[in-house]
Amino acid sequence: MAVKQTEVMREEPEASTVLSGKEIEQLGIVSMRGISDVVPNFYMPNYGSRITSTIYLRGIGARMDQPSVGLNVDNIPYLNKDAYDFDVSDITSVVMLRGPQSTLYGRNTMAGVINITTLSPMAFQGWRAFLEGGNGGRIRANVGWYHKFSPVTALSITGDYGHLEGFYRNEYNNEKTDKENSFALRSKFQYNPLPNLRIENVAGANFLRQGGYPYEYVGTGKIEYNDTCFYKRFTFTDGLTVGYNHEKFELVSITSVQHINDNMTLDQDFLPESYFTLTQKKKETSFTEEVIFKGKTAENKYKWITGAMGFYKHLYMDAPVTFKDVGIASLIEKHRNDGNPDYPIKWDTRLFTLNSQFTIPTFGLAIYHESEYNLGNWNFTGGLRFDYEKTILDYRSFCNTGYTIYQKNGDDLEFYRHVPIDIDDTGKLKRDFINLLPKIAVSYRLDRDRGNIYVKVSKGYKAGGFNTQMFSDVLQQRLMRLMGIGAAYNVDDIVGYKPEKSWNYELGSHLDFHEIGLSMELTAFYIDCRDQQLTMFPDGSTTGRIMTNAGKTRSFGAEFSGTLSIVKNTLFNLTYGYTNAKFKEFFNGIMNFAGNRLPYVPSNTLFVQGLYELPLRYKQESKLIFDLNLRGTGPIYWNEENTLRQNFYAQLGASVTYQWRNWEFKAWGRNLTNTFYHTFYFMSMGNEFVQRGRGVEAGVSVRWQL
Amino acid sequence: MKKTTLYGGLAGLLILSACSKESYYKPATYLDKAVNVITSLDDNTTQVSTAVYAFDLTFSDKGNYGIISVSDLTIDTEKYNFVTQQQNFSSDGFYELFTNVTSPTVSLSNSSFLLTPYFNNPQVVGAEGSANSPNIVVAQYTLNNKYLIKTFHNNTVFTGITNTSYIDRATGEEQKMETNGIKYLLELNVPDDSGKANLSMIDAKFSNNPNERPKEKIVVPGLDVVFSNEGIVATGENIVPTMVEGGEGTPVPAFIINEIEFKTTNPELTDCEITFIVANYQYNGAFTGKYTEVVK
Repeated sequence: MAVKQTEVMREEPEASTVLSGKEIEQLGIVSMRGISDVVPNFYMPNYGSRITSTIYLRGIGARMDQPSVGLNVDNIPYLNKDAYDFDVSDITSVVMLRGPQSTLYGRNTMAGVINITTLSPMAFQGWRAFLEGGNGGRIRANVGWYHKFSPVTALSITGDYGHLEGFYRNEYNNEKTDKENSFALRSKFQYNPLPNLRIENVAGANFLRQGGYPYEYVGTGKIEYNDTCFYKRFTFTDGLTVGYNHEKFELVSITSVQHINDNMTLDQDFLPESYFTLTQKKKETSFTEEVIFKGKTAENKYKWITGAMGFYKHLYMDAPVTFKDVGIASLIEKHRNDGNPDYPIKWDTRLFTLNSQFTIPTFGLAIYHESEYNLGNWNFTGGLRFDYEKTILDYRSFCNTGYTIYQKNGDDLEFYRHVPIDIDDTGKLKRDFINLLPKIAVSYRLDRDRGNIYVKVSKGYKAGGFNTQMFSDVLQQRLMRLMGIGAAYNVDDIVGYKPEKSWNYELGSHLDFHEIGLSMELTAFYIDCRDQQLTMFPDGSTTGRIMTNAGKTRSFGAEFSGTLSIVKNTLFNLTYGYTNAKFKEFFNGIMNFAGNRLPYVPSNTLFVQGLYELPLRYKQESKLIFDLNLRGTGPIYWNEENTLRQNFYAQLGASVTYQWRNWEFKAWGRNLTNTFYHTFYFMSMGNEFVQRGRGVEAGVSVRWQL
Repeated sequence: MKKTTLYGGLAGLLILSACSKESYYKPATYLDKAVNVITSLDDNTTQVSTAVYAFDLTFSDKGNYGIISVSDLTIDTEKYNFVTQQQNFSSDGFYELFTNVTSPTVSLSNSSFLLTPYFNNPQVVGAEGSANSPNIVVAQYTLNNKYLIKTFHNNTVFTGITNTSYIDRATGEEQKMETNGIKYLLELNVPDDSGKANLSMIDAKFSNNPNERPKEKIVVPGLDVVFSNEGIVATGENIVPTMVEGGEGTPVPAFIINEIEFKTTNPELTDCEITFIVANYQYNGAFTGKYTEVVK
């Protein structure tokens, strides 16, 4: 269980979704994205590749840089959103806390936090195996070995393999674009030398290689591009948790190290012509250390948690953008020659590179405290976190190329002058951020174990930093400036951005009607977000773009989660989320978007599921489980102008599972209605692109444990 | 009562003794070589020459005072060098202003000598300059009751509002644009060639077309310059400008300057208007602005 959460989430003044291992296996959840299907107002669409983890919760989210939702796996915090999308096997619980969790969890939990716990070798010993095949050439397999050497020592080792042939075809080379292979290895070592002392070390390595980016050009309706696109990633994590339990307090230390080494290479224009390509190679190593001190008085009248957390991460990134023949001709030469046709230019080569390299060390320190006081049926919670963070950007942008100016003389071109382009810019930027992150909650426990009602006010925080993706723009503008056109950018002004902050006001209730097998959670929220990290145009200019803190947004909505088991062997689940997220202030230098909906945020999320278990009398210890479900999302606006949108769409899913003793056989299907929808939209060079959602997916799986 | 009187007297003596010395003292010297527009009060003819203005300033808690030295001021064939009497000047941290100065060697009247780095002082210069810009003199004075002298500079930058109108090629409709993003640099060559000037448009963009990117610098060379008591006027017709590209100029015949006129519009020569018609009458432009910096 995650150290900072309590055992019974329904007694807490928190909007939470708790999934057990059985529910996770039933739903086929192996990653954070799978969780988004069943959590109200949580949206993590499948598009691009596993680095493009767009995550939105209650209208708060991010498409790039810092995440808004935190992720902890076996208490190990994942600091980089680029590594969020990975498969995990043998999950025993997932707890998603919705709403700002910044008081206890700190940076980048402005919208919520997900705590995933995997199977403990102390709880289970034996073998577990899983094999799945499906359309799209899907194969997934994992094997886990769980062993207890002694009453105090246990070890598990699990291995995963995943393969996907793909659902989308690139018509340029007739190859599948979204082919994927992944391998993972995880070990969990637990040692309890004393009854009240536990030591756990979880280590994991994950390798992924995928095609990705099945972006369809709206102009032709085709996925068709000529340059290579792929995403390759290796991650290693190791987390050591040492916990000491006293009857009155618990002291826990969590130490982790993470390393990410990845390479994203794109045909940046996503067209069959050679405009330009992008490569982003990254190596990041992070260390975290957190010490948590929890305590309680007799009868839980007063509980508290105090902690200190520090982290250091070091990122090196190399991100060259290569201009190719058509890009040089149409984006550079044509622009220049249209303005001065009497002195046209020709580039020296039909390929040149804008290079950008960064080193970004970041460190942070935080101390926090939260107290909970119970007075009869009333519970009062208050907490505060002091958070300090410093980040430094060392950059080098360089380019070595040139072009020749000719003088037009009738039909002839005479050499006029050669212009060398030799750029080598270096610099260092620094940012410090200090934040106080409070939280106050009051809840009332209803009689007869009916549940509770609560109100909560809390502050959320998403770290500031540097948007390294802007550097290719900076270098392009620098190059054009050398050519005499374009406006020069001030790097410090446009690359750095401040933290995003929000105030969250929430009214919620957990209700249980055991007599009829009904339990529900209802929440209403209002979020006021400041210093929104947005893309805009510099004052007075219609060319180029900068990333800055330019907006205020507000988001309000409601969520419902309910489980009903009124008839024997049946279970109904329903989750629904509504979000109305709009700009309060946003002028991007050209247009004013105040009052418009936030793009990429679905207004509604819906999950309905009916489960029926049929024990088979003819065979002992066997049963059939029928699952019928519906997932709904939308509408989603694709742009700040709100001129393009994806309407609400629903996907029907079903599965039939046969369980017998240690075996489970399952046939499943998703989007059985073959609903047509888009998961993503963007523009590049004035061209529109979308990614289509997957059609029907189906497969069979077998699970075995001994 | 007696004790109070005694202590009060002692306190008064201490205060007086403190005032008799300067406890804050900061000397500073600034030099500026300026262009002088010299109009004869006898026949209203105008000539130009350069001179060096040196300001020796003292900032103290007893008051700010200084002297101004003018050297190598050539009028007709006579060279003038003179120094003013030491006198107080007013200062707000962004400028120093001497008025009604006198000199033991020449007659000065109706005088105003302003020293400033143009840092956003709308009352004086109306500029949005930089505190890191060099200090320049903005002065007007009558010398020996014979010559009205106004200072200017060889390389002055003006910023303000540019309004353009043009025919949108896509729609054929007339469009207008207003921007404060274009700066104008007037380059004189006093005393070597006081009859000609270059006028450059910096960060020049003349339409709202998103495909038109601002040009770093468009240089319009060879304008004819006339100096008079009314001010400075520079004009030109059908000039092929050059666009700075890779650090050097490339002619841009497509952007021919059909007509262009620069003129100062106030007695201090710190405000100006510029009108232009370019690209075979595709763009009409008008600028009004103020002195912001001198490029040295």
